[in-house]
Amino acid sequence: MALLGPAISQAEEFADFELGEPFALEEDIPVVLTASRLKQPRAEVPASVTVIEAEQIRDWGVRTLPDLMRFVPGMFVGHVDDENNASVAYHSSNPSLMRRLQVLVDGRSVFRAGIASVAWDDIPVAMEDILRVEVTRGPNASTYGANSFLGVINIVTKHPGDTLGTRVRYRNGSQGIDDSFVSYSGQSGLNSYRLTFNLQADDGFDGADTDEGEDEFNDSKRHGYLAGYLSRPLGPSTVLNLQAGYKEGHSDIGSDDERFRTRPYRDNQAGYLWGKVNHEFSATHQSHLQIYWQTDKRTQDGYGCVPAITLDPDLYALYGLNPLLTNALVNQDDLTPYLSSLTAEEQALLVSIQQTLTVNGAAAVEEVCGQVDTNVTEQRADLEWQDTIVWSDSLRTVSGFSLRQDRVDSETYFGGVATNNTYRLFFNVEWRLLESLTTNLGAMYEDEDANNAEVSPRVAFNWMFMPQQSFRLVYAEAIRSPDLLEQEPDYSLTLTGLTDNYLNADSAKFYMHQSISHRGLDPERIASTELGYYGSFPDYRLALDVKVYQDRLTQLISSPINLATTTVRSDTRMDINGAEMQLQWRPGVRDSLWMTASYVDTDVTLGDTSDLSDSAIESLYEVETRLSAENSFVVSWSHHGNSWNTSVSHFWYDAYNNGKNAYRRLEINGRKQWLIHGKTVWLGAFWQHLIDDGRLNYSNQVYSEDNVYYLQGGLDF
Amino acid sequence: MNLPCMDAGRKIRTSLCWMALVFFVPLAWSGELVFVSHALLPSVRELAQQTAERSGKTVRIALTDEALNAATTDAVILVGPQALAQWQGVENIPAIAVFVSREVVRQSRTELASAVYLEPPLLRQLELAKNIIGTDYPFGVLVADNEQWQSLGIKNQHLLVPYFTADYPSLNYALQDLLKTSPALIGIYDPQLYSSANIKNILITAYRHNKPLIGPSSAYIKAGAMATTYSDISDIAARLSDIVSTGLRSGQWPAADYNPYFKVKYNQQVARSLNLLLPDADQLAERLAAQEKAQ
Repeated sequence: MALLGPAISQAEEFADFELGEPFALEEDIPVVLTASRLKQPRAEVPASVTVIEAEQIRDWGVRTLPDLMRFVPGMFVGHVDDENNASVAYHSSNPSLMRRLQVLVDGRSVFRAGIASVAWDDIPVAMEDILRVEVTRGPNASTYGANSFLGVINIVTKHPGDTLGTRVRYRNGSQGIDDSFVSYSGQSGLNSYRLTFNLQADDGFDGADTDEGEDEFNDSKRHGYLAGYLSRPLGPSTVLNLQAGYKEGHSDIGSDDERFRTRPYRDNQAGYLWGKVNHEFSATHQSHLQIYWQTDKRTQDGYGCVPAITLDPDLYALYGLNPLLTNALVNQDDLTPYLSSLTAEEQALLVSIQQTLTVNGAAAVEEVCGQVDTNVTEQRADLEWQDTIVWSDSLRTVSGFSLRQDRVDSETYFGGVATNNTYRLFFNVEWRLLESLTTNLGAMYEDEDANNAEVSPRVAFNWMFMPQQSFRLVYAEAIRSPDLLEQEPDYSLTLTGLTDNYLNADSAKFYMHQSISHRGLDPERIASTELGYYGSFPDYRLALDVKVYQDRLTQLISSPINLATTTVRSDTRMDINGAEMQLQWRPGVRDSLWMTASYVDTDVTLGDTSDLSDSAIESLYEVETRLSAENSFVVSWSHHGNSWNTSVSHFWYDAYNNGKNAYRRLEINGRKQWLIHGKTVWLGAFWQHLIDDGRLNYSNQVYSEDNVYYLQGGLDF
Repeated sequence: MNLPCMDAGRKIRTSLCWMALVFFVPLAWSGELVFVSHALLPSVRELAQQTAERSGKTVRIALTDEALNAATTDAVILVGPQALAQWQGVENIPAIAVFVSREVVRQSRTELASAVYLEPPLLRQLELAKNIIGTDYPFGVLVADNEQWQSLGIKNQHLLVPYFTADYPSLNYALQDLLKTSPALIGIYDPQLYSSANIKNILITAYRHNKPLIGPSSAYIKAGAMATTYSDISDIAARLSDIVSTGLRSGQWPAADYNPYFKVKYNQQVARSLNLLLPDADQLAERLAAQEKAQ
């Protein structure tokens, strides 16, 4: 009787009524809200999005996140030698810095804000644990905040309840590839957890002019981590997800600076704690609270030898007042252009230095050697609360706030500790104006200690002229806030354990330095307009996305951020126009085709170049565009047999590196599996062939052989 | 047209009119149909009324403990599993069970003239899934064990693949395996498997894989299942009228079976988020019914 009770009150809903006790009645069945707020249908998404699923990652045989990004239209992958880090950019950007894309792992930003960059090797996610990678192609600061500049790479890992059991994989191949992976996931009741250990190593590039089969470039790396994930319901409508990880790594760094071999390697230790509580108040209202803390310690010792005079405190002081004069003095250039405008203080220091040179003679220019470290420890604490309300069938809002503290501790870069607090408010309204017309209006307001308050808006219209086809018009703005090193550097190199010198010093500071309370740099800005089309044709198993766009990037900071830089300006402008497409087609059940094409036309306008040499101007022009190919085309075909699969991918980049390079590469990946006593055993092989004799961007970024391969095997039970 | 009960302007008049129909229209047979249920439920009244309307028979509702007179009763309709369980049987009164599952009827010791199963047949749900998702991949079905699978009587159906939960350490292991290869999960009528406790887990896991649940019944649509076929009270009344007419006229009662009258129901929001375009529900139901008839 009790069971039938609710039915009486629902008498008018006879259509749904079932009397089949003990079969559950509608009232007894919990409404699973996740289902009703899953995602926006593709045709209604107010941005260009590329989604790469777990199956594709496995089919393509990709072993690193940057390599995966090659499958995204308009995305380019280069390498930063000074950091031994991959650089990934959408459309156009400086290949030496990895700071204009936001990268999130399950909502946690791995973008390092103290010294802006994304260190790919430090992201503790095994390719096997990735559920999908959602790439928002275009600025999306209104959703993700500052630094969601050229685009956002959102890595979503598999729920531990979906990886139950043990997975083991080992991989070994050419170029020192040596990767191991062990993961265990378990479940008890509705609680599920996972522990993953992953170790990844390779020898990197082989360097310019290296004999075939030889590796003379110092860029090997070995990174390993242990990561845990726990998912636990706290109540019928509340779920807690916890993640924690510890990582250690070592990267060798090929440095071309002969004076300071400060970057022969970098050791890194990192850890994170992440927690997120999702609560569903009702079918139309839900919130989450996310808190995370992460730390990253980078140790870089080096040994350097410089003329003794460059460690003289007077020279250090003079550089602080007049760097160009000081460089001319050290380089023994003609000082005349600088002498007419000297201040009394500069004059006095110049006289003192000249006396020192005279008094000490040869001892003043004698080489002195010492230890140099460029250690950095970064920490971030972040709290975010987000609220989603469905007001009606046609109106839905997402709003929230976040608080973040970034803290950097480095004698070299900041003369100690520097902190930056960021406060954010954001909202997005999805409003269905007509049955076939949706608009999204969103904005992010953020204020931080190191930079002025900014608002980043986005407006989008999606017109679903057919049920699964739409046109979209999107206008979005975003900023990249200058990092602490750009804005507030206290950057100097201290040599310790010095060999004998006329200063009788055991430690001393190299004369070049940057000690600036605040540079007052404007944030880099992007305003992007795109017209896109998305169409899904289920009868043909085909989905197509095409867009034309216009990106206006202003106040870009193109100046290299290194010790020798004397002026840093945010005044480069880039106008990027282009078009791109993405096509996914399954001609049959067993085959699938992935095809992307991109055309990028970039026009760089430099700002004030009055104090730069011709070669410096030339390099500034080139640096922002050398990563991108004007035309690129990627095609990949995968075939699935009953217990095997294979895929062939071809990458083509034309007029790469400012028209100097053409880059073509072919990849074949295959895998065969056997089911033995309920355990899956598998073996696989991957082969990459460089068709052109091309380097990536810079001369050392090349393999001495045309082929890279690896073999791998695994066991799932 | 000037039917006596069509001036539905006033409620009282309409009810009086219905009473008139109930008591005075039956001329063809002497007896009445007695709907037996364990409680006086609006749904039972609704079913009785609609059956009367369709079959033209006199109907009456009785509680399970009431003694029935064989002389005035043409047939008894046992509504729900409680009524079926408590039915002692009266000589010369044929009993027809409705609102009961196939499993309940199978295990019941009561001799039934006929029955209309509550749940949609698995093959109908499969046809629904094929029409929405296509026939590229076989669909997974969670069942407790091979015995349960055999009892469903599915043969030579390569588009249905059973996953036996008994073969796995837990339901989730089975579900994980199923969702790896199947484009959707088809729910069978199993109150234990699809209990209130399990359904959330099943739905959340399926949606993490971007794969929908088809079925097991209309009650799950609001919860987050994407589509199902189902028979509502008017469908049951329609089938019941067929059974009663045939049985009373010929003495040959149609065998207990699934309801051939049904509708299709969707959760549009789920379909939208899964990027699936759904065919019109009414047209699809008609098409499926026509297909079943042809076989």
